[in-house]
Parts: sequence; C-alpha cells; structure tokens
Amino acid sequence: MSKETEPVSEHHSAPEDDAHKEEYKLLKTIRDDLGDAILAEGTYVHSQPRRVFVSVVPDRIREVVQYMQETLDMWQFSTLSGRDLGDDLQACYHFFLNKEKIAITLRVSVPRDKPEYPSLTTIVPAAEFVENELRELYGVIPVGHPNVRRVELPENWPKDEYPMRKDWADPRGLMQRSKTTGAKDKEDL
Amino acid sequence: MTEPDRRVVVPPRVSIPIGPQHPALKEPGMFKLTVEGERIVDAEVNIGYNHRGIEKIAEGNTHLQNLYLMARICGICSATHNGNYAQAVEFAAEIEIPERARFLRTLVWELERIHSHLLWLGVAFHEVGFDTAFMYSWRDREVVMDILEDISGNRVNYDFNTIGGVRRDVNDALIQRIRKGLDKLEERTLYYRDVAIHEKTFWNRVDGVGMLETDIARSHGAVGPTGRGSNVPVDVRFNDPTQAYVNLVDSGEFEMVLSDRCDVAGRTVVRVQEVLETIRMCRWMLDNLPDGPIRERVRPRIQPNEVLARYEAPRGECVHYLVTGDGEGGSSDKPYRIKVRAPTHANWVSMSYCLRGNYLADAPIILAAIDPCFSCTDRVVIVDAEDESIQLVPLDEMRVRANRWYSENPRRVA
Repeated sequence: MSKETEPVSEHHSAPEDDAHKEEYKLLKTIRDDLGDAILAEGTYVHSQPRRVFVSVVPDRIREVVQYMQETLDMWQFSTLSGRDLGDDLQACYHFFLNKEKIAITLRVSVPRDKPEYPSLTTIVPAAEFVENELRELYGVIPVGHPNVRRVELPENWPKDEYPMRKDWADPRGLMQRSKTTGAKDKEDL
Repeated sequence: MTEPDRRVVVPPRVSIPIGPQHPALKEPGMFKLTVEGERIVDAEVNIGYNHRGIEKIAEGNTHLQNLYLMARICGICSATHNGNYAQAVEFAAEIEIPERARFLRTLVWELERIHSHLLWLGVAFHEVGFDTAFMYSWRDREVVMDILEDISGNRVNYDFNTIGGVRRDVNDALIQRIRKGLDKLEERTLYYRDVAIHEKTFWNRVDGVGMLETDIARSHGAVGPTGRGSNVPVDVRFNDPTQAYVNLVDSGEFEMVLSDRCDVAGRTVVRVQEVLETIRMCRWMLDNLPDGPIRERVRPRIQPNEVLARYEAPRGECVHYLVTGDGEGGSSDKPYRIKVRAPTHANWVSMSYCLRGNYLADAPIILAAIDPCFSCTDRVVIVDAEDESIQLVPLDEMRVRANRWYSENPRRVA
C-alpha cells in the first residue's frame, strides 16, 4: 500500500448529492455573500451529515459572525477549539444553526509568531470562558476580550508556557511525575 | 434644599466567597458573590480547580486507552464521554456499527439520563431543605443503578462502549428485568412530579428564583435542561440525531420537553418530564431491539479526518472535536487533537446572570439548578478579617508554609 508515502488529507469532503444538498446550499450562500472573507483552503462540506467547515480571514471573523447572526439566525455557540498546525495556530469556533440543523465550524489560522485575531466575546457572550482558555492553553490572543483572566491553569503558571502546543517541552517534568503519563513504550510494560 | 446632617445609609457591599470546597455540591468551584444586605448584586465564577489536562494526556494515548480515560472525565455521565468518543472515532474511520449496537448504546445513554436526573432531583430537594424527598428519590435511583449494573457490570463508569460497537449483549431474561425496573421507576417518577409541583415547601423555594430570560440563555449559550427550562430548543437528540436517536425521532412518538418558566422551577419540571419521556424511549427501544452482532472490528490505525461528535448528555450538549491521523497525512492509532466540551462548562457563563438580584439564601439552589459537574483542588482562599483582603494561595505555597511552620514548631511531646 502506498499509504505510508501518500499523505491523506484530513478534510474529507462530501460528494454533491441529495444527502448533502442543504449543506452545499448553505456554503454557496455564505460564499456568495462574503466573497473574499472566506478562504478556499479548509472550507468544505464534511462527508458526515450536517457538518460544514469554513475557513475565515482572521481580521474579518467578526464581520462573518455578525453576518451569520443577522441573516442566518445563528445563535447557538457550542465551543472553541484550539489547534497547533506547526507554523500556524488555529482557533475553531463551533456553532450550530438551529433552523437548518447544521453544525458550522468557523476557523481562523494565525501565524505562530504573531497569534492575534479580533475577539468575539462582545458579540457572542458565550465565548468568554473559552477564549480565555484558548489564550492560556495555546497562547492565541483574542484581541479586545473584555474580561481577561485565568480560567483553567493555576495562578503561578509561567507566562510564556502554553501546554497544549505540540512543542511544549514540559520543563518541570509534570507529565513524567504524573501517574497518568499516557501510552507507555513497549519495553516498559 | 439639602439638609446638612441628613445621611443616606447605603448597606455595605460585602464579597462572600462560596467554595472552592463544597459549594452546594461536593465538588470544587468558587463563586465570589457580592451582596448588599441579602441581595446578590454581582457574581463571579472561578473554575479550574484541579484541571487535569485530559486533552493533553489523550494525545499520547491510543484510541482504545482513551475510551477508558474519557469515561473517567465524569463519574455521573461516564457513558456520555465514553460513548461520544467511540462514535467520534467511528465517524473518523467512516464505518457503520451494527444496528443492535446502536440501540444498546442509546439504551445505556438513556438509562444514565434517568439516573442523573433522579440524582439531581434529590440534590434539589436537599438544597431547599426537603430531606425526606431527597432520601426517597435517591432510594429509587438505586433501581436504575441496578439495571445499569445488570447490563454493563458496573454501577458507575460503565465502559460499555467500544470502538465499533458495545462490549456486552443483553438477553431476554435481562430485558424482562429492565422492563420491571422501568415500571417501578415510572410509578415513582410520577409521584415525584406531583411532589415537586404540588408540595408548597418545595415549589415556593424554586418559583421565580434564578431567572434566566430566553434571550440571555440563547446568547450566553445555556444548554441542556437549563436552556430548555428557559424555552430554548436545544436538544441534540432531536436537532442532530445519531445512533438510535435517528429511529426514535423518525418514529414521531417523542418530542422535546420545553418550559417557558425560565426559573429553577422550570428546570425542575423539564427534568422530571424528561425522565418520563426517557422511560418511554427505553421501552420503545426494547420493543424494537434488532437482532444481530453487537460489534464491528475496526483497524486500530485511523485515517486522517476531522470530526465533530455531538451528543445530548443529561446536563446538555457534549461536544468532542476529534482530529485523527499523525498530523502529516498518515494514519495513526492516536488522536492528533481531541477537544472535549462538557455541558457544565457552557452553563457557567449564564450562571452570574442567574445569581444577580436573588437572595443569598437562594444561592445554593441556583448553583445546583444547572446540575454542575466539576470535571475538575489546588488552592485555598484566605480572607484577612482586618484589612478585608482576599488572597488565593496555591498548593505549592501552602506546602512551603506548612513545612516552615512545622520546622519552627517542633512537635510537642505530651
């Protein structure tokens, strides 16, 4: 098998058939109305039913969310996931459209050396806790967050350490000291 | 027209920390309430005590190990995380699990909902000081715990699901026992519904307390019975059905339980009605239980994929965002990224709104009304009585201080 050599994309887009008609219709509406605020890379309809992923230009995320709230009545906010992509860091906002019954993920990719994008807390109040969480676990800074404080990590946690980043080296050996260090090597079992 | 010696007496604002230990429930979380007299004027929620870093640990585990780790996120809704992770991996591997496995998985999920709601009802009765009903409802909760033990082998942390299906099958004798248990539960739940609505000692404590208006609940992302008690139609079982919920919704016999009361009473009514609805769902599933295998074999290495798995946990929407693969386009037996959003986390944001304007004595029942589950002890609050300063002291600091005190004060021999 050529699986080891040929990289498989993690974006499994759905065929444009009847089963995914609603999702493609929604994506087309968004693309038509917002144009260049939507990036082609990472925008697709997932093959799982009722899932749409949309990649947004970081500076225009507020505009996109406001548009979604006004025209598509998007009010249910699920959560915000951070991701480490290597050169970029990513923030994925998971929303749910109750009328169309589609879970839509809006994501912004920001460069690792300047991880900043406008905060959504003022227009989506539900994002208050999760945006603070993203800041402390990933070091991605939502600019303009009204209530910056520590949520998950202890107060004495060092300022420039972000434990969920893939290159976090665990300087104090916390994972080693912990009893649950994850999967052990075969020799240790 | 000012009178020089007339004074306006403003009640002093006092800040009261509730928690982090035992804030209404026996789990760590801190609520800083600012009170004026008896009224709460401001509230701040502090969480993160004992953040266990499960997402980080999970990145180093295989999918099969993670199933058991996820089950231990929460002791009450353990089938929630366990099952939702299993379905996330199945979505990522793009496999279909056998029909019977889907029904059994949903059956355990729904039985767990009965157990969780009866537990909450007991806690709510206890918080308002109605301890007889608390003892009664926890006694009857044993019935559903026994059913769950019968099915899965464990009273809590069932670990019933596996990737590709479920781990145990049910036989006809067991189904008869489940039916008998459900009959008993239905009879008792109807009684608790009458107690909750007609018993003045309970109703007067929850009527109009902890108001959360529909639009605030919407914008602040309230989920589960908290949202539905405020007339927000959020129920993943009906909006985004997976597993056997597809069949349940298609049957058209079930509908979402909503209340437009927006207060703690509304949340109580929603939960009790939901138990009755859930008992009907369990019966329907037992009537229509398909035959066949209970699990499908899945290769341990999963292709790169990103999936969003949603499930309606007893407390609200549970989201697992899973990215599989090794990050470079190859398949891997470990997750690349797993984000877990437990339902209580979404309800914290609206909590400070619920508390504002209420009496301090009502704070415990309001806090308990969202059925908080802190999947999360590492600090204490020291309040200095002289200068009224409040200091948060981390565990390391406490240990250093304790060691210093013991070295300075050697043990006295009696």
